[in-house]
Amino acid sequence: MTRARAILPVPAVVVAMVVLAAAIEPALAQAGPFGVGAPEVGGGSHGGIFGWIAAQQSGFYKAMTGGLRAMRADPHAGWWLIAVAFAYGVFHAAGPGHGKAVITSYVLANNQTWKRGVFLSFVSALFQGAVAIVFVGVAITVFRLTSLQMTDATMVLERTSAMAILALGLWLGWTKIVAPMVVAYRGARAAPAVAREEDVIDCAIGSPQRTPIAAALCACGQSHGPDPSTLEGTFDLRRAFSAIVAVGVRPCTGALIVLVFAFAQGLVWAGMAAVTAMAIGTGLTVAALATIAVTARGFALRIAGEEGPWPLRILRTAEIGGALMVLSMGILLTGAAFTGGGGAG
Amino acid sequence: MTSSLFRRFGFAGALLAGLSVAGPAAAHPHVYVDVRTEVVFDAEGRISALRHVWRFDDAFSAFASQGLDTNGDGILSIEELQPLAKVNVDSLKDYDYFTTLRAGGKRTGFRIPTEYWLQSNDGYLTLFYTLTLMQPVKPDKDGVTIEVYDPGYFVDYSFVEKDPVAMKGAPATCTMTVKPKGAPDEATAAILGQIPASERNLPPSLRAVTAQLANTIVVKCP
Repeated sequence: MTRARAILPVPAVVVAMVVLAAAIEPALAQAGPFGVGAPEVGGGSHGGIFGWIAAQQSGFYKAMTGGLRAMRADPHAGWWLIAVAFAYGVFHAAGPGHGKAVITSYVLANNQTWKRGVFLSFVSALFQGAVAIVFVGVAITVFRLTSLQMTDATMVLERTSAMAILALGLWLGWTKIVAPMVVAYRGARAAPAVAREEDVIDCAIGSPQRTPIAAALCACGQSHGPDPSTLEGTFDLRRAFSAIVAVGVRPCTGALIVLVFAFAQGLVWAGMAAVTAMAIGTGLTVAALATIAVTARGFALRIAGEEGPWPLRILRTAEIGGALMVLSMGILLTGAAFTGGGGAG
Repeated sequence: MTSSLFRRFGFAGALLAGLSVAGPAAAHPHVYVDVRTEVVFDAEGRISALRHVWRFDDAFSAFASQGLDTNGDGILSIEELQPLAKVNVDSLKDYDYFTTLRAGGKRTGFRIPTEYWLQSNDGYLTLFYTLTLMQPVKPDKDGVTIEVYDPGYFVDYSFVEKDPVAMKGAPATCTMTVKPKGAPDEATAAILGQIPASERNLPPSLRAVTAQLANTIVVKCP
């Protein structure tokens, strides 16, 4: 009951954002070089292994469209299609427009366990796949949209996604950075600025007689108990849902092209299976990345030991770093979505 | 002392891992185009226009032509495709038509195309359009270099294998060399992923890299 009530405002916020994204007419927006099927906007690449990833993506993308082509003559090509679609998803998650950065940063910012990171990764990827399937299905069968109209609609979703990530970043920035600073500042005026072990314990056990320092520690939103290895953030379903929606609401261009291609050939189920396999592959990569981030944090905590200021510093830095990352992604993507520039294409 | 160092190391390591995981993104093509080009000369032996014939891959063709069979006869006519052709050509302007023309290191721009259309054959769309040069250029012995490619690598351009380029109305002394693109190696693809699709003025070091993707025509009239 509480959960249902907690989630209810999210659709309302999403609808408001879609309306806003549609209402703002960006002067310089580009819908890609042919006006249909826009390149995804995203951060810049930094070479090295990513060139290899790009080459794999390219190969599997060709194999995927080739698989659909082969199915016209040979229905048994379906398994091949699903296999290459999965492989494409694994590599495509490293490309722009996918939520790996947002999900990983979100997991760090909220001090989540790897299990929750894996859960968020798969749910956001499957949500994105489902959005693509519903989007193309409704666009073609109900509204009979042209590719031009579909591209316009995609741009609206892209802007919605960018603004939602920005909102999530602002919210994380507020709760993880600004609010704790305000509390710490107030606390520092009233008491010595050094946290004693009792403060940490007071906070962890929820003692009613907290010192201002203990209150400041508690203000990070976590229970920083004396044993950092057992620490984890609370799992707020509404917050997690907003991260999933922010990441998944913009369907990727590759999925749209493959689906429309499948529809055009009467291979609707094959297209849906391919996009689902793609989403599972994407989820796998994002889950692996989130796990790496969480493991690195755990490793740092283990080196730091249980005593002294370091465990807390590490957790706070991971939180602040994660919050800043989501915020900067939000700013970058929103800027790119509304001006049409800055995309890695 | 040592343990403190270790902590800092672990700390930096955790941050670095988080950042590296969250950072990069690489592009790859979603559109494959087979290119044929006609180099058109005027009466004074100058190159005055380029006529492009670009065939899109079937997946992108299916996507782009979705919903455009407005009379529902199962055939995409040139008239039905004309709105799409217009959007194609209008949008390509922001990408300088993925075409560069240089003479003696100097680039010549193109006028906004007025002649363009799309045809559909066996599920493949082909875009026909004419790029008229701002200033006609007379090729000398060093030649005029024409390149067709997308440095952002969202579009993968390749010359068709048979007769990709023709010269129309060229003086008898003119010769041309055609060099299809090379397959980008991994290092090249990595660098390409960093370039925004709209970026056209690349520094020389990057031009050397992207040039591997270019389908190049050199026309010389000694």
